[in-house]
Amino acid sequence: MKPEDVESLLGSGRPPTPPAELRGRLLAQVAQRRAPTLATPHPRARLLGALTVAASILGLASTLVWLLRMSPPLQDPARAAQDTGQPFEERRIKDNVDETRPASFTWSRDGKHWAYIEALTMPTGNVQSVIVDGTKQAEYFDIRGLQFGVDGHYAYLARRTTPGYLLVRDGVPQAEYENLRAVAWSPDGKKLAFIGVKEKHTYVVVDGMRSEPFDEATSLLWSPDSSTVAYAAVINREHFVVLGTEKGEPFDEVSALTFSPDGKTLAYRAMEGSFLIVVGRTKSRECTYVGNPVFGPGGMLAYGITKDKRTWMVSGHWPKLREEPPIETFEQVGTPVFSSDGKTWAYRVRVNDKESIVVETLDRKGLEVGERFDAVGDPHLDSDPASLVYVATKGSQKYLVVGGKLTRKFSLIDRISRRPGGSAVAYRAGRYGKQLVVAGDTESPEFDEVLSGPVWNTDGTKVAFVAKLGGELWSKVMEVK
Amino acid sequence: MPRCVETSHPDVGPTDKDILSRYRHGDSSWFGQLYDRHAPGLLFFAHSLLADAALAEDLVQEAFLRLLDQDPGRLEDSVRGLLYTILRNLAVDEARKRSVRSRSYPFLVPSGVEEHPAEVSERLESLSRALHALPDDQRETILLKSYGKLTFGEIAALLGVQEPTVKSRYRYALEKLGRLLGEAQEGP
Repeated sequence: MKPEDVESLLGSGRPPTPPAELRGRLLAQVAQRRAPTLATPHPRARLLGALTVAASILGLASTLVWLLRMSPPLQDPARAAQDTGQPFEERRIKDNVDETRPASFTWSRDGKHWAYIEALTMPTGNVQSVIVDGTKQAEYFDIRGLQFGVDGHYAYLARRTTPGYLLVRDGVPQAEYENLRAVAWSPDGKKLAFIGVKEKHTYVVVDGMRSEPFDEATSLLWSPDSSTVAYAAVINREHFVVLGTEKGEPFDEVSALTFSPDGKTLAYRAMEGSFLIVVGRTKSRECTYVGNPVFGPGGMLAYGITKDKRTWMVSGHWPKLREEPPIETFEQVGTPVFSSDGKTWAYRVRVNDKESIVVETLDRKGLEVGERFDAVGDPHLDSDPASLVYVATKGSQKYLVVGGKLTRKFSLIDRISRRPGGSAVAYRAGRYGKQLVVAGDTESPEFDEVLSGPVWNTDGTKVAFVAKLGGELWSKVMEVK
Repeated sequence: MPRCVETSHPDVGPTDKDILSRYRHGDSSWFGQLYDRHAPGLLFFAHSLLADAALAEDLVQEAFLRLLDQDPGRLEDSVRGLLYTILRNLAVDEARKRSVRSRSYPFLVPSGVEEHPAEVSERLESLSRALHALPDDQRETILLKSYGKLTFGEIAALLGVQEPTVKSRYRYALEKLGRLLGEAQEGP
């Protein structure tokens, strides 16, 4: 046979589709991982760098650091509640923190307790400890998932030198598994759930009760009323959702679980050859690809779909969704964010290497596509389209876009928090290698790092945050004009 | 509601780099599409190198996970090339340390709807057997070019050889496959 005939024969074949469970297994692992973060350089190295590099180069370096740094992953609802407990009193929390690299700083829900993870480089390797209200806990080699529940109770996952992970609750080691993940307090902070692996079986443990053994379990999610959990599980290559103890229909893959705000309906993405959305016991049409479904107030539901090489957002009151494509479609759509009344939603779109925010309303006549930037962050909506706030990237700079207009410019803008009942926002900002908090038109002094916050007080007159400056860790409060 | 049923079309949607960028911003929801694009070729490649289907699956999974740990600067390179580089390094390490186990080889399937499916399947089965009779360096080159969709330059960088060497291996591989398939047609 001639070489050209062999090439033709090679082209008539393709590698077979890999087994479905490989896809499910990998995606489950990816979903459980956190995006990589850049290692924080040792303070001495940073000091040496600062002494030897000219100020102008420092400015450039800070920009590069921002470009390379990873945004924090999206927080789950139980975790997001952690920041609300910050007390509005200014005080020095700890001295000499430069050597211990504080991370994952968090307040208890009532604001009476605080905790963070510190790391020490020892001759035997890195060791980590949790500091709770200034008291150092036991040393471990890896600590993850530090969270406060109600009444100052706390939990985290820790690894010793021996194989396996411990669930540590209020400082006391409890359950030990070969692998542990997805530890989450219920929204009311009273119950704890996690996923543990032991002797090749995966278990979901909810408030001390262990599930039946699964081949795999992922996407553990508490209902908003803390009454039950939902998760994705695999047995004998069949993927299904478990709501409480009830198993759903089997698919090739299930993911992107989400509860409606009232907790009565569960939606998720499923794959059986092609992709579809499952809402309660009903299914959407099949599509090439579907994004994460999101419920809005008043029973609204929206998710992105790809069909015929076009991508757009479908939305409406399930099951009567507006599925027809708009005149303008996109290469990619992000996850939608609803306004508080559910009548407006916004999402990120990408076309020809540029990104914009699109705003839609319930009485849609067309899409309102915002200005195009190199990149845009997730939109923040309050009550109406005019309340739209997001971060836009132009070159190396970040701009806060408020009501469609570019406002402040920094090398870093994140942790956007809207003033209660108002239009102003507070956020963490970066400038020339330093960090500060901006709330409305008020700027804080610059710090080495802002570790936690900003959060608003209930009447919107102050913001609080935790920051590091000169080796000291401070709880700071800023009056907002 | 309108129907939009169609088969998976993994090249639709965001680019590989977009998907990795989204992952770095906390959105792993698109990762399945990245998997769908590359997993078949990667698994076939690993299975061919190792002759062990289960081990190949493990290494493909590990390759995707290691991709997520890569230096963000490196992700600016071809994601496809990087995945094959990671997978090959894993496979080479594994081949060095593993004990002799039962061997299995993957078989190609028709890439489209054929008029004579049985005949095409038979020819692809012969081709699959012939592929496994190639020397390792030639088989790697053919698989990376034909099913990894890598350029000769990318294959050269991956294998650590000059581009003309890759082109020669590819040509020799086609010639040898032609001879093997001719022998198969003639029969014993």
